[in-house]
Amino acid sequence: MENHEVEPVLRVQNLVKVYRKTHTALRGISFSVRPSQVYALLGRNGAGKTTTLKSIMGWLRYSGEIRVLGSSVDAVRQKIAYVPEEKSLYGQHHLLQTIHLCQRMFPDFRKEAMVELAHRFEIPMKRKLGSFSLGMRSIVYTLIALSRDAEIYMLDEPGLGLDAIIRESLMELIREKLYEGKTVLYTSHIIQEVERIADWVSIIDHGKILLSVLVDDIKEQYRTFFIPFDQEPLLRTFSFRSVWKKSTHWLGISDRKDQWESLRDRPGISSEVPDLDSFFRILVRGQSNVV
Amino acid sequence: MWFKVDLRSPDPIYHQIQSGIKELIMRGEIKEGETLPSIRDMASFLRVNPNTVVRAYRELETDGLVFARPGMGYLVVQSPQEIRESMKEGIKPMIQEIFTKARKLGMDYHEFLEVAEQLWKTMK
Repeated sequence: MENHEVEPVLRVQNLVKVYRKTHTALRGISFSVRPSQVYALLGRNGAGKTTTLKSIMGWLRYSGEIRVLGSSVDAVRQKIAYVPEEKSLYGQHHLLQTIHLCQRMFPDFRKEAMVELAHRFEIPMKRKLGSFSLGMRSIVYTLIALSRDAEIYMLDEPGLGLDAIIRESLMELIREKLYEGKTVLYTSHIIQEVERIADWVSIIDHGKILLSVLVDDIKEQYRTFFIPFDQEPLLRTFSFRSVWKKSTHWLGISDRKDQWESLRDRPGISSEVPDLDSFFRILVRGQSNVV
Repeated sequence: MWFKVDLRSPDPIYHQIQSGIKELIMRGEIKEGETLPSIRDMASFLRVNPNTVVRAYRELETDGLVFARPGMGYLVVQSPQEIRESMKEGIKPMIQEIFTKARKLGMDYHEFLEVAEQLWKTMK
């Protein structure tokens, strides 16, 4: 399912980031986010998710092209609400003071929305933030960003440090942004999160996007195949998007519907409809684009 | 309680939602002339992406079960009997698959019917 007529809210083309003395963090990242979408960058720790977001925000030098709302990020910065990975707040303030600060810092910050959220998430107003648990501080930062009436919300690991219940409430908030016509780009390494809330997912590993796909389409477009070692030649005669060698067999992902039937007919071969979890594992642990 | 969706199922979520809605209509829980639960309510209840619900509802409209009225939700326009008939059609490929498997095993028709009858009888 594609929507070609709508202008993307964010377009990243061939983003490369090289840290001169150390390593290449991003090796040519390309993806587009359309309006009213929840777009997830799913990858392991160190895959390049944070570097990608920081590049988009213009805080790192990079090569490649990035357009936000059709312009450079500097021109539209006030329309983006960003939540970094380390969600640090000023510990000496309590929430009410933080809210007043945000009112002065962000013209689009809505105090009533934040107060309502604080109530919903049972966050005390008059206790110093420094006394909050890690998870609480983390969610406060994200709630502040979500209380802004921005066009795009870029959240770096919003689920970090949160328990499952609060994460679910956060997912609900992200849904509400969709109803408001907003766009959310977020990074995560938590697969269940992505599966339930993201429209699109780009799977990123070692600085490259392995695949971008509509989450809903995964089950229709892909099959995982179990291939015992004695059937290894099949890896060459059939097309696999990625193959992962395990102890007694290979696991392969195929997007070739025309080949599924004949593959399944081979002795010892079985196939499954992938969920995002197995899909992710095989893509990341395997070798991609074999044959 | 409307229905559940299973992320582990081979069936894509939007498809499970379509099936779930069809079932609700067949059971009479949503009547012809009534509107489907709002996209928001359904997305919240199932804890899924609202666009997935939108896709499911749109496919139901393409299939002629519901009609989208701007600002007024999705109206059910088919009777439970009509839906049942079309769902019967939908079951055929599944039965076909079982036949193919039975055939591969070398089962003949009577053997198959025996097994089928046995299982049907033990069903609640």
